[in-house]
Amino acid sequence: MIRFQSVQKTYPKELGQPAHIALKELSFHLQEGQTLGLIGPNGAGKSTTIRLMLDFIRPDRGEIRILGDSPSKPATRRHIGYLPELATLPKHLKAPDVLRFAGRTSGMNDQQIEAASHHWLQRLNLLNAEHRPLRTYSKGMVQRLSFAMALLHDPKLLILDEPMSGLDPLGRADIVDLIRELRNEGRTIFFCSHLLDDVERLVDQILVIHRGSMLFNGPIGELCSPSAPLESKFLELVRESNESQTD
Amino acid sequence: MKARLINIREIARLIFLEGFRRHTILGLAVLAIATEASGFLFMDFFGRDLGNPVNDFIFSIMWFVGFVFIFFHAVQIMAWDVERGFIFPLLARPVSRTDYVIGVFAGLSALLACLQLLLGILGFLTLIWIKGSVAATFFPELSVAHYLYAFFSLLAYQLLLIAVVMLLSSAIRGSFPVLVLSFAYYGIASGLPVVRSMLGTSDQQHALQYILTLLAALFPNPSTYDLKADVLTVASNLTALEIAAGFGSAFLYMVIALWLACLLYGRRDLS
Repeated sequence: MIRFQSVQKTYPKELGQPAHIALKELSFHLQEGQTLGLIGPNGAGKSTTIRLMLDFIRPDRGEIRILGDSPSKPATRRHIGYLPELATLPKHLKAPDVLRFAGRTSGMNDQQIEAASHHWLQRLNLLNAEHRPLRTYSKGMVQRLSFAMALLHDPKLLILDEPMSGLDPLGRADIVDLIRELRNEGRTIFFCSHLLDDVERLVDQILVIHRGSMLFNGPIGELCSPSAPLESKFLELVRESNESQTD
Repeated sequence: MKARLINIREIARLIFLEGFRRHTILGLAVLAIATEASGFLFMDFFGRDLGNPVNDFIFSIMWFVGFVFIFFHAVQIMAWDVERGFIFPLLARPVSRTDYVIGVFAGLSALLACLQLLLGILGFLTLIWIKGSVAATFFPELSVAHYLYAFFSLLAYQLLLIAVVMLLSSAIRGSFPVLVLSFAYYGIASGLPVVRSMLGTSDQQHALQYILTLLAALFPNPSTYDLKADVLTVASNLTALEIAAGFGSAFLYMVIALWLACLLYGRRDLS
């Protein structure tokens, strides 16, 4: 479903800022039906990895395959559902406007869009706010609407960038339940989050990156155990990496 | 191809609806309509040459409204892209960057065309009403064909400016630099003919003349598209060639600007 092969990405020099290597020779593979959690400290390269998958940015070298194809082909994204970390939607639009856009561009007809919109708005507790302009939505509501946009066309692959961002504890628990449901349905999910408890509960595979380099990639069971939770193992990996780079 | 047209239409629809429901645009439309309708007041201040001030006033309102729309609304819409992150949910769909550029241009153009059509119809009705209310000495001529030509020339130039805003947005990050450079583009385009006429045909400045000619090709003169003076003088008939040349040049500039914008958007990193 997702294959990164020796991918390197450097952000070019800008006024007052030197060139910055965001990813160094990153390789990993996510198979169909798996859930992979990407974790790393701030600036580790998580957002860069996601942007590369969606062709928002292009790698300097290396190869990326999404659903067996290059991410530069727009048709590849027909089977991808993407949830951005900070969903920004035009504030004078309404939920049906953005859902119609999501459905139409994915090849759905009006009846399919209507049925799927109703289903997801109901599932994400947005049905009563359906006809309100988005400027009246809270941050959590916009996040849930973005989730509805991501799921509307029944994608094979879900790419979720901080899916619990901006949600209150109830909303967060609901999204965790939803991700679990989607995983149990056999969907392939790639998500990154700072909330390591959630990652530990939801994923089969884990990818840890730090300063653009991969520190760990494999089944979550190989990294942590009930006696050594993900958070402590993650901190241990990052500290070891910092020390080795200092040496 | 069908999928691409659907993508463009859906992006244009979002852009149109966002502008249509925006209170600032609604306020601008109401203000412009009210101001244009106030053209009736001219009847109390002008005598013999009543047609000219009313006609100038109506077209000036349409130019002004178009510029407010382009420099503030259109530039802000383009600032959504990377600055506010709206481009990401759009491009996360099976939408190419070319579809995005053309869709945004189509949405902005459709909204501006609706606004101008409203003002154009109201302006024409105002002119007809005033002409019918006064004696022929005060308002001798009004050509429908020339009014339409002047109206669509104005619209064509403003659509050209939207294409230029798209091009600048593709090359520069941030709404403020795009706003400043859009103003600069219009300023240069307006000022260049003045500079060229001041220099005249001096033989000693061949290089400068050459540069100015080149610049004039890059910055089309807005006065070429300002044909409001012809509306009340119907001495000459419009020829098909004249119309084709007028709209053809605007169309060509638009196509080149959009093509370059698509090219730049296609190559840049969106981060």
